[in-house]
Amino acid sequence: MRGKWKRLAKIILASTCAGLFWVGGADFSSVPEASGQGVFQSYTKPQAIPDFSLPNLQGNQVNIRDHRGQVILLNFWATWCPNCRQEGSSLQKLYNQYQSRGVIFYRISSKEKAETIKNFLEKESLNVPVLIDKTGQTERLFGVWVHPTTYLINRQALVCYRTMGPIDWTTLQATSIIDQLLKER
Amino acid sequence: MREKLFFLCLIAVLIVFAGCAGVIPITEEPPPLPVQKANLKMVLGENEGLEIVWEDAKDARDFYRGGVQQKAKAEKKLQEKAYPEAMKIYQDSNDFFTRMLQFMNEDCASYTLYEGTDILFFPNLLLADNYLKMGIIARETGREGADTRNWKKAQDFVHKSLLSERTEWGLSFEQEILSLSGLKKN
Repeated sequence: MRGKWKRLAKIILASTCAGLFWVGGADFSSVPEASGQGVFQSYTKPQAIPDFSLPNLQGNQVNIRDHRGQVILLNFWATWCPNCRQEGSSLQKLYNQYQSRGVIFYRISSKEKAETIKNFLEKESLNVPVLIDKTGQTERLFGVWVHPTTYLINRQALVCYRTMGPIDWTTLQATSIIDQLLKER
Repeated sequence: MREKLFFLCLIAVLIVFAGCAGVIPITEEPPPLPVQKANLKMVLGENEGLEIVWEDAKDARDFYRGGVQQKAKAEKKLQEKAYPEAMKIYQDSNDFFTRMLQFMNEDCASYTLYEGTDILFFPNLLLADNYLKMGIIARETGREGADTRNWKKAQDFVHKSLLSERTEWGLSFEQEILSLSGLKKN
């Protein structure tokens, strides 16, 4: 009899918790489609890449317009972001594999000091080119709201794919998407 | 014995009164968020850039961003007095925001996206502004009744917005809607 009451109490407690979670837990990530972390989203109506110009770690200005006609991978990340650290090594492998084939890689870090980023890259032995988005303006232009977020841009300067969350960039899916973008003229 | 009882009662009365004085809440409402910190220009500026189209909107951030971007377009059309086009784009903007509200329905002056980055998040207030302007267009184009219907919706959304985030921006809308429509305050 006592066990029955205990079970009932547990059910009531669980229902209450679930109810509270449902009422109070709404945020951007609660939208069903937003849970597609680490998944490639292809755009059905690709839009033009916003113009931006940012300094690299050497202090030289990089204008994205200068890369028109090339396939571009833009990875928005931060040194403090665990998911970005997780995908860092596979992104490095992709860079090693594709930079010689003309794919442009930039990792864009916002509101972080160049010194912090340099130290991090040295420690992790990563050398994918980094741009510094000091004010976060470029992230805003893309509407980035999670780290890491990556955009793949085709030769017509149209944003074709987006990934949110960590990706294993060594998978067949990732490389075949980039191969396909490279094939397009 | 009586003396003791008298003092005990006196102490008890004093404690009760002091306690009451202590718990009386000061119900002064905090001032609304100044318009310099939350306004339409700032919201539009925050959402410029990569365009969100309905077919590719996948998450809440996309729906909010899409709504704001459509609103920016509609504002331009309204300024040009291209009323039918403006009306259609305001409706597109509303579609984005309405979808957004299915997941998050409270306005917030500082919604944290991630470490160090906050946005102005006002879907209710932006919907109110859209309906306010759709009402104005309806009046300008002689659509009897449609103006009041839109202003009533605008009033409801302003009310929701002010409940979650009291802003000078929202209060000014409320005044504008009341003066245009002659509706009573919610």
